[in-house]
Parts: sequence; structure tokens; C-alpha cells
Amino acid sequence: MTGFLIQQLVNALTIGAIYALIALGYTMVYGVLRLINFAHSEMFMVGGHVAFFLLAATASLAGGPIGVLVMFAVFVATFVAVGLLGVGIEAAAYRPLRHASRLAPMLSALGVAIILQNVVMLFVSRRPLPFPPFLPAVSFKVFGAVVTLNQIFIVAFAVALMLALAWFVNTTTLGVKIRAVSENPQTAQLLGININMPISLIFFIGPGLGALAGTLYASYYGIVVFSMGFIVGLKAFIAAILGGIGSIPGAMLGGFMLGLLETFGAGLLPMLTHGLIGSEYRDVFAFSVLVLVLIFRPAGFLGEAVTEEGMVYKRDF
Amino acid sequence: MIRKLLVAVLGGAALAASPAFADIKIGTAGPLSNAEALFGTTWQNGMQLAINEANAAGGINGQKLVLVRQDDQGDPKQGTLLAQKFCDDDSILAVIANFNSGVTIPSSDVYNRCGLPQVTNSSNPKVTAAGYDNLFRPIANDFMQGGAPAAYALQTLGAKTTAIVHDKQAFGEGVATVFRQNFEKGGGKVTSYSGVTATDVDFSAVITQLKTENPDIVYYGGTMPGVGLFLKQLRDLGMKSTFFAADPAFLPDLITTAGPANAAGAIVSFQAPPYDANPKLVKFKGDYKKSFNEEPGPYSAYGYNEAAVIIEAMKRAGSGVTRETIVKELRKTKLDGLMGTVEFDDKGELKSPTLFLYKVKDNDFVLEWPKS
Repeated sequence: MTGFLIQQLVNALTIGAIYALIALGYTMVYGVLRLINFAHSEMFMVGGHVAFFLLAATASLAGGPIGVLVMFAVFVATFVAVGLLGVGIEAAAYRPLRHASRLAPMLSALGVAIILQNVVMLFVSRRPLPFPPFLPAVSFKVFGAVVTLNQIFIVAFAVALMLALAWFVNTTTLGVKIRAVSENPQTAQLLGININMPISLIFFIGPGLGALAGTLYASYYGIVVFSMGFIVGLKAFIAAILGGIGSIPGAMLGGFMLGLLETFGAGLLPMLTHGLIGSEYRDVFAFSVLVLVLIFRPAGFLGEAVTEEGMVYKRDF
Repeated sequence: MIRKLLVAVLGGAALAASPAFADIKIGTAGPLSNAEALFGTTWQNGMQLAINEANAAGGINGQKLVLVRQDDQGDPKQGTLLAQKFCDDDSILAVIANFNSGVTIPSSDVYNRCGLPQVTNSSNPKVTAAGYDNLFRPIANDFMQGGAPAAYALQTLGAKTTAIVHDKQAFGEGVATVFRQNFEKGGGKVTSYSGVTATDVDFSAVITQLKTENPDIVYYGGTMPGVGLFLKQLRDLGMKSTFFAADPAFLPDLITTAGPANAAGAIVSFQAPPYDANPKLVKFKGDYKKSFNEEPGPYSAYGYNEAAVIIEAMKRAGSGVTRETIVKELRKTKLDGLMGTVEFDDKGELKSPTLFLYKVKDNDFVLEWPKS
């Protein structure tokens, strides 16, 4: 039983780390623009595909196993490429609508998501492509549970990225500007901050992190496919709400919480109910959590409670 | 006025799209662009080969045969849409559709309503349950596909326990249920029977559960890429149980998705023997390579057989070849096909179906049972 629980814990942390990385993109954009960026799930998908082609190119050049240097080069290139795509999307699809009603950019985001998915489907492949693993298949036995090197790497790398982001937002000048715009864009502008710059930066970092999550996800499961973003993106969105949308530590917490809930739900409930509720209800747990959180704690676990006053100055931006 | 113009334009387009008067058309719909694209494309290539041969031999009453190839994407919505399209096209006299059971079950309703002779490659028992007299299945159904592996596991491997996982689709759950019944009937114990979401990629929660049961066999009823991912995670999590899967796993993608080391030893059931099993198949393989410049796919021989039974029925129907006469003649089929005689019982099922078990070995599928 201990082995079983530890194994589920490891599984949960791995998928939770990936949800958390994606959730950061949702939460950062929401924090600043009050926009639910539905195109974000496709940044995750595009990231997986960009990394796939980079790897295909480098592996054919080197002709050997993927080295650590190549791996990090692929990560950096994927981050930058998808980050730039994110900046481009913001400039083309959201900026012109910034002073329109809040529904307009949201619909625009949905449109971008559909376009990206179809472009990849038509010009890359409808079929799932096999994604090579970054690391050799080494596994360790810990109290009867099997932990792979890949899982350790995913959790460690995701946590490192989150810490780097927290450091960036909390201590650097650019981070201060981001927080200022997120707190009150009009006042930030009055204080001489060019608000387009922090917003572009957010649309660089968010999609970049999403793309890295896509790459990690692809190498963990060994597959990339044009439709992979939809359900994972939806779950990461739930993770962001769970932690409190708009809050960066909230997104991290929410990602891991959702991973735990989902894995233990799917793993334990069939045992407790003697098969009455099967593991096929995995996704149901995730969405039930969303419903419960929205009913009992709409601001999430770490989110700021929305006050009348807060609504006034953030509403029409 | 505008409506009149529109009607005129559409009418013109319909005329332009209709073929030369004398062609007889056979429609086919299968997955050409999803994870099962390799199955669908090479299956339809097999039909094309049979039709090319018939045309070279003079066609039907001097009329040329044409194969209309469509992509149903393995999607029931698309499959029924195409079925209606084929029904409405009077030049289509027979169809070979569909590949996936989940698509064939709804599309057969549509084909039955317009009396279009339908030959299918889907193996779920429910496909013929409606008792449509225009539907024929010249391939083993899942009673065979679930039964033979269970017998092999119990008798040859001496397995006592099995855990069964399926993807809740018509095919996956159907074949898993048959396997379960046969395994229990043979005296084996089913430790758990669980479902997963077909589009899911993370099976670690259910596999961790299976680990505590430690079964001799793990049976997965489902399609690619799920089956490959499941096998990969099964081995990654350290389970050594013998892995069994059904025919959708009979693809090189199984080995690439799961990884060669993880896939080694997996047992996959499939309806066709290897292409060197008899002289007819050897010749077929050569002809296929000449026509398409590639090795035949897993279901190419069945595609060829399915087109051949329709062509034979058309020939027997003679000068009055219509949808009705083809149905009538299909029932009397007695064709010496690539893999034995094709004859239908009164439900449209193949009278003497065959099934083979393959084992993954050195990046390839090697015949395991029956040993000839």
C-alpha cells in the first residue's frame, strides 16, 4: 500500500508540474489584462511541435543520442520561438481590442486557438508523431514505487522555472513594472510606465513556459499531436482558477493540487467503490473540482477576493 | 431569381462532377488521416488493386469500375455523412465501409435505408446485430478476436490471472468483454476490469492500481495511439505482465510509440496471416509492391478480398446490375479468396473466419500462434 501511495504521488507530481507551468501563462495574462487567453493551450501544443522539429533536425545532424547541451538548446529555442509567437498574437489579435468589451478579446483568443490547431493539423500532421525521450530510461525503486529519471527531471525543471519566474517578478525592475500594470494599468501609465512593454513581456514569458510544458509533456508521454492542447489546457485553466486566477503562486499550487486530486481520484475511487466509479472518470474529478471551487471559493485558494472597489478600476481595461 | 440562378449553378456543378456514363462506382470510407491512417490507406490500396485487375480483364459487361475513396477520419459523424452522400449518388452501386466498428454501426443504418450493398471490415459483434440483409462481413468478428487470445493465454502460457483495460469505445470495450468472458470460462481469474478515456495519454493512475494486483496478463482493448502509450507506461512503471492487445495495435507505430524494448514480447491478435503464408498472398504482395511502390499494409489483403467479393457479385448479376441484384448475389458468394474461401452465413458473417497471434520481436511482428 505504501508503494501504491508513493507511486501515485510521483505520478501526480509529474503531471501537476506540467499543469502548473501552463497555468502560469493563464494566470499572468489574466492578472494584467483580465483576459482568459484561450489560445494559451495551443502554445503548449505548438511548443511540443517546435521541439519535435528542432530535435528531428539536431538528432539527424548529430546522429546520436540527445545530449544535455542539445536538450537545453532545444528548450531555449522552443521558449524563444513560441514566446515570439505569443507576442505576435498579442499585437495582432488582442491589442487592437484592448478597449473593446471584455468579450471581444476572449472571442479573438478562441479564434486564434482554432487557427493554430488547424494550421498544425493541415500543414504538419493529423497523425500523432512519436517524440523521442530526452533522457535515458533509468528508473529507481523507492519504497516499492518506480521513479524514472524523466519524472525527477520534469518536476525539478518545472520547479526551477517557477522559482526563476518568482524571482524575476518579485525582484527585477521589469518585474516591478509587470506587477504595477497588473495592480492598476491606468495608474501605472500615469507614473510613466509604457504599459505595452510589460504586456508584451507577459505574452513572451507565458507562452514560452507553456511551450516548455508542451515539450516536457511530449517527451514524458512520447507523443505530439495537433489536438493535445485542448484538454490539458482546460485542466491547466482549472488549476489556475483553483489556485486563484491572477496569482502566480496560486497557479503553481493549483497545478500540483489538480495533479494530486486527479491521480488519487482515479487511483483510489475504483478501490473504495469496488469498481463502481472507474478510472475513466479521471476528467470528471478535474471538472467537479472546478464547479466546487467556483461555488465555495470563487477567488481560489491564493487569489485576492474581488471587492466592489477592485471591480471598478479593473473592469473596463 | 437568385434561387433560380443558384439552382442552375448547382445543377451545372452536379452535371460537371458526374462521371462518364458507363462507369460503375464502388464507394469506400475509412480512416485516412488520423492515427489509423496507415490502416485505412493501405486497406483502400488493396481494393484498388482488385479493381485494377478487374478493369484489365475487361470490367463488368464492358463497363469500367471506379473506386471512390473517402476519409471518414474514424469519426461516426463523418462516416454517416459520407454514407448519405454515397446513398444519394446513383452511380455508386456498392460500398466497402467502414473500417472502425464505432463508425460502421451508425453508418449501416444509413446504407440499409437506401439498400446499398455494404461490405465492412469492422469486427465488433454489434455490427451485424441489427440483422441488415445488405451488410456483409468477410472478416473474423470479435468473438474470435477475444476468444483466441484467452485460450492461448490459459493453455499455452499457463496464465491464471488477468487485468483488463479498455477505452470504452464500441470496439475496445466489445473485444475486452469477449476476452473477459472467455478467460473466466477457461478457469482464469480477472483481477480487475477498468475503462480509460480513449483520448487520454496518462494511464499511470490505473497502471499503479494494476501493479498491486500483479496479474499474469494485462489485456488492453483499444486503438492507437492509446495502446502504445499504455504499454510504454506499463513497462516504465515496472510491470512485467505479458501484454495482450487486439488488431489496432498491429502497426509499426506500436513499437515506435512504446519503444522497442518496452514493446518486445507483446502479443497482438490479427485476422491475416503473414504475407508469405500461401502462394496467393506472396503473389499479392508482389503485385501490391509493383502498383504502390511500398509493402502492403496489415489489411491490404482484406481490402482486396472485400472488393473481389463485390466484383464477383456484379459479374454474376450480369447485365441487370443494380444495388438490389448485388445484394442478392453477395449472399451466394463462394469466392476462393487470398486467405481461404469466402462464404457468408445468413447474418452476413464469414463462415470460416481466421485469427492469428503475433509477438513483437526485434522491432517486428512474428507469427506466434497457430504455429504452422
